[in-house]
Amino acid sequence: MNGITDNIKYRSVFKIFFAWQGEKEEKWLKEMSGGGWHLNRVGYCNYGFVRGKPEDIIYKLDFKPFLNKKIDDYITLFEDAGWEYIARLGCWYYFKAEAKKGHSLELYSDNASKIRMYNSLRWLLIILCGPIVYNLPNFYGRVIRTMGTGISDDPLAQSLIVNLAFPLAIFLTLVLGLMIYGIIRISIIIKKIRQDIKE
Amino acid sequence: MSKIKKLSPLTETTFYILISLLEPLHGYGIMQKVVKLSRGRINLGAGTLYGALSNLVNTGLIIPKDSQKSNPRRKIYIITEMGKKLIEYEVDRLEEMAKSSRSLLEKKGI
Repeated sequence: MNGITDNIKYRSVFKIFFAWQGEKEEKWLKEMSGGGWHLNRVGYCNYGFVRGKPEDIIYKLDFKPFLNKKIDDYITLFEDAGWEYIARLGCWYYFKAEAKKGHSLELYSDNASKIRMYNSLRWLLIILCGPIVYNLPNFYGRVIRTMGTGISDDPLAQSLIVNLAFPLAIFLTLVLGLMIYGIIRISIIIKKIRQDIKE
Repeated sequence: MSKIKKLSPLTETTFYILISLLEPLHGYGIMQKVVKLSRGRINLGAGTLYGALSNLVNTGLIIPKDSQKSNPRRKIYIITEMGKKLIEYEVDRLEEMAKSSRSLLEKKGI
């Protein structure tokens, strides 16, 4: 490293991980810490790092929906267990711990509770699909009707539908496809854990 | 009794958490107690413990007690009467499993 980059203390990195890539994300954060960049802030597809000594640090993501009122209990319990709370992004909570510490280095110590976590994640995705599935036929109906009848009586409505509703319908279709893909990926993860004879 | 039967069998983790709450404990206290009871075999994950505690409270097997004055952030839990009954039922079940398995092994000379 030359003199200029040595002075950089904070760094922000753009990176995309999907909901079913938690373990990949944890591994990446561990590698960043190994290179002396420690996570201190999490945003959507955006990770803030602070510079420090290269260290062997384990990162864990926990998915917990509907926690708002009980967040203190939750974080205290994790801290007592040796985890340091870093940040929260939506229903995701980021924790870290030194790899050499004597405590359990897994957040979930049995398969039953691991499955429960993935199940709640899968449910959230299914629920989020609801409004899109409900609205999509309506969007496409309008677009097809307008395009089928040619120029509508109302030029403003015509322009809104072509320039707004159509791209939005395409976008929502892509989002829906991604969410269904996510649900399938998570189902595969759950199935793999279930195949394990361990409890 | 039928409700107790429906809740059985508990997972090993849930069983140990429940039985450790025969005395009032907070989260970390439970972790240490479970390590001791299982002779170091079970190291509870924080996520597993948090989830199990919420489930046990929702089922009425444990209740949160008033927090310690010294540390109001730490919630303390204690087993309920129903929880105690379930533990008794589970211990009988485990005893039956261990006894009949042991005698079968002896019969077969293993």
